[in-house]
Amino acid sequence: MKKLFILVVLAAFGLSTALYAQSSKKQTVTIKTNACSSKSDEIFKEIIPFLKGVSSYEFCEHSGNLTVTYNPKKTDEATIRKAIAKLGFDADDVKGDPVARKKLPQECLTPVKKGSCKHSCGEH
Amino acid sequence: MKKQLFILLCLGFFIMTTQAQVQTLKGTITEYGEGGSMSPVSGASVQWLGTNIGAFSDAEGHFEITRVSSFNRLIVRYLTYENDTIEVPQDQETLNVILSAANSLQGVEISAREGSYISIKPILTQITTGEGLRRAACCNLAESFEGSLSVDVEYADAVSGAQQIAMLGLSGIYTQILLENVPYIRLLGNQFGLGFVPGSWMDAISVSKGTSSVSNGFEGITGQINLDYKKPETNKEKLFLNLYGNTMGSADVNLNTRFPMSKTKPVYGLLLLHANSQMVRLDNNNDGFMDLPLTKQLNSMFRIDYRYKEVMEGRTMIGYLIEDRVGGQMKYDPKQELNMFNPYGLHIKTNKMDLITKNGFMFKDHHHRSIGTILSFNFQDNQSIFGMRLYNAEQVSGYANILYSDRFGAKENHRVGMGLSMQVDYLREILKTLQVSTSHYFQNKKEIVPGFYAEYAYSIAEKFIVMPGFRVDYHAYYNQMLYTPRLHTKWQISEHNAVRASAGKAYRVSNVIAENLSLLVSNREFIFVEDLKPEEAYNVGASYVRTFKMKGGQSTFTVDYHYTHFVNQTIVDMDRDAHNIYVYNLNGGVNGILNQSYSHAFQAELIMLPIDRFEITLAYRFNDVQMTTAGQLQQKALMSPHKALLNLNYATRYNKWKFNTTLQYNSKMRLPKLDPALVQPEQELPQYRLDAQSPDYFILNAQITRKHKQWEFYIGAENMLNYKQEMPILGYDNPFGPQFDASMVYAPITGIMGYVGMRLTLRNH
Repeated sequence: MKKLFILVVLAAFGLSTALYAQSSKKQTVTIKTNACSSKSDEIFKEIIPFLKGVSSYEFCEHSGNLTVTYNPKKTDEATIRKAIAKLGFDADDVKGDPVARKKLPQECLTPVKKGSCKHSCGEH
Repeated sequence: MKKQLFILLCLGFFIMTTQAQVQTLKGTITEYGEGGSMSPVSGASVQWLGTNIGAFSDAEGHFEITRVSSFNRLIVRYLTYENDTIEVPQDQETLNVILSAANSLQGVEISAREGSYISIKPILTQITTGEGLRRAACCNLAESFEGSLSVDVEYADAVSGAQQIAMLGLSGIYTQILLENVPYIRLLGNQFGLGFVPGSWMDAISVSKGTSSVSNGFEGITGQINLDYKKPETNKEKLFLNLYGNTMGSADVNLNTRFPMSKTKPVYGLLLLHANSQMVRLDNNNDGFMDLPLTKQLNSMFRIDYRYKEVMEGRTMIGYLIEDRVGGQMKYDPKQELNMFNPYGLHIKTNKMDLITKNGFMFKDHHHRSIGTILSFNFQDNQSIFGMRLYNAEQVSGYANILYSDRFGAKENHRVGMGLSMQVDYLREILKTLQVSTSHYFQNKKEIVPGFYAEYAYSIAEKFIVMPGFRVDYHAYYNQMLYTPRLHTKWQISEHNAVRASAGKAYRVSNVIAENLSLLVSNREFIFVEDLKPEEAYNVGASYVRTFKMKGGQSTFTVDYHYTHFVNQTIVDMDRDAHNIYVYNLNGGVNGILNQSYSHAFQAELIMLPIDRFEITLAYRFNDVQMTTAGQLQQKALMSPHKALLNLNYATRYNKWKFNTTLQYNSKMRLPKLDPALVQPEQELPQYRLDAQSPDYFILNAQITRKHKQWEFYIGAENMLNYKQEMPILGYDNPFGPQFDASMVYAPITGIMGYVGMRLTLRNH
């Protein structure tokens, strides 16, 4: 009886993985944000990969660029941008939520003065 | 190594822009805080070497310093860390500095792993962080040691549900348990205290074997466990909720909330709430006794952290707990009349209150100089019924400690700490037996123990640290001076190899009934043979830690050995006969002289991270604990000499799924012997018989966690191999008869247990 149960669980797990693999034709999008420093990544880490349809992301703290891999059947670029904006960050042309922005630690946002966060990922 | 400060440059973010001239260098300075989280460092100074141009980091750890052409070397200075100089190329615009305490005495080095790691302190200390704690749905402190062999969790008896620990093979009473360096689980807390520390309140647990720093008192013969609760200042959980339920009919609720208490000042509050209940009477082994007691516990704590400029900071906490525990025969009703015609029952009511305040004062011009104060007040009240016995106890304790510490020397490689402490305990106990012609036990004890201590640490060329310490306490109850010398050394042979050694003395004052409540769940009588003297022991130990790189991160191999030698011990002798418990001094008037009590404890542990997010722990420990009981030097009863552990932890990316499993092996244990002269014909019956040894057994636990943005769901099972002690209660069919004894527990009483739970975390970023 127990063995049967284990088999059923394993089968269900295998099946769901197979289905998942089949349906996921993934796309990536690079979104320009005003996030800066690893502090912002600490926030993204808890939110971005858990958005519906998002499987992974990369954040470049020098450019503020977020490269998000997602399943287009489950979500789209606009939804992802909105989710980023909800955290208080600007995402391309979507302005960050002003209430959330106030609560962000200072170092999460690009300093207004010229300087850091202007070159793209991969160059360093 | 010329480097005075071990700074991990966060690769500095080399800017390769076309802009040739950069006017300023900006960056942040962070450090690994308590519990392993990163926190910004304010007040650190940066300065271009050879210039007067410098800057300080602000509250967020930010600094901005004007660039000077042809000066590329930046000096970073901060408190407990030693200075270092970093090369910053002219075209670099930002610099992130992580201060690592590799050369700091008090500091903690953290590896990339989140589960548990070994600190760099001269005292071998293994730290388990919040992430490691969540690997088991540990509802309380006792359950959080299942992934380690340094601390054994023992089943105290088969009725009360109490869990106790052991270190180096010796009972948990010889381990000092602190809450953020304040003595916490003591006296009346010994029996159920581990169950009063909710798993989800904890941020980290630090375990060190052997004698510890003298600053926390003369206790701690086998080791020290320091708990860190979540802190208002650093905790990021605006709201945390944990719900847990298991197949044994038990449920847990935890709710934490953290909030700023002032709009302008750095004052934060944290409210911690916990409730648990065992709601169902269960008797799976059909002995007529509940396998687990019914419990209701409400536990709360409110704490605040505050800071005044760079001058003063403090933490204050107030906690209150109430618990009701009902065990015994299935038909037991706590309201029933106490007589032998009614079912056997156990009923314990506990009230506990704690107030702790710790405040530190810094000196503006002397970054290393500080004065720390600790004040703690504790009240606890127990009202208990064990069958026909009544036990009532009350404890009022006060503790004060004031510590001054400073560093000096050209390289600031000398550290001194000294202080005064005062411990006051008032303990009132009454033990009555509502039976014919038995004695009553009554104790009304006042202990006042003022003490002085000093500790000095000297580090030689970053390689060698030697830390002698000494304390003197006057124990008014015994009218005796207690001298406690201790020595810790560490030799960092190379970056990846460290050897530590420690030697020291420790004392303890026993309160036999309060520490052995589980023995009341038997019809054995306590016989106090003589007046007890303070327990006194020496402990020496050595350890070797080797770290090595693996694909998944820094891996560790640790071997340690500790020897404990008792000069005097309170012997609680169960071997002399099956009906009494004899209590006497190791070398007292009754037991005679030349008796021995010692423990050899050896442990080897290998923690490997072969690939990303996969961690394997392999551990083995051997304890040889010999003690003279019943006039014979023999292995300590109910202690398994060999234990082995395999722990596998795997997490998918972003911790979306986590899989944890632990397999533990427990070898055969010696069981207390019955005097052959006392074996009566009916004791040949299986329910009265005790083998000389318990069987060996395995315990398998597993858990799966699924993480979402705010929710986390976990499901798991404990004791999956369903190993149970066949007959945990001797003489269960006649609980008022002389053979009844529920204290001979060597294995789980309940079998396989499944659980599910969820956590909700709303973060403050």
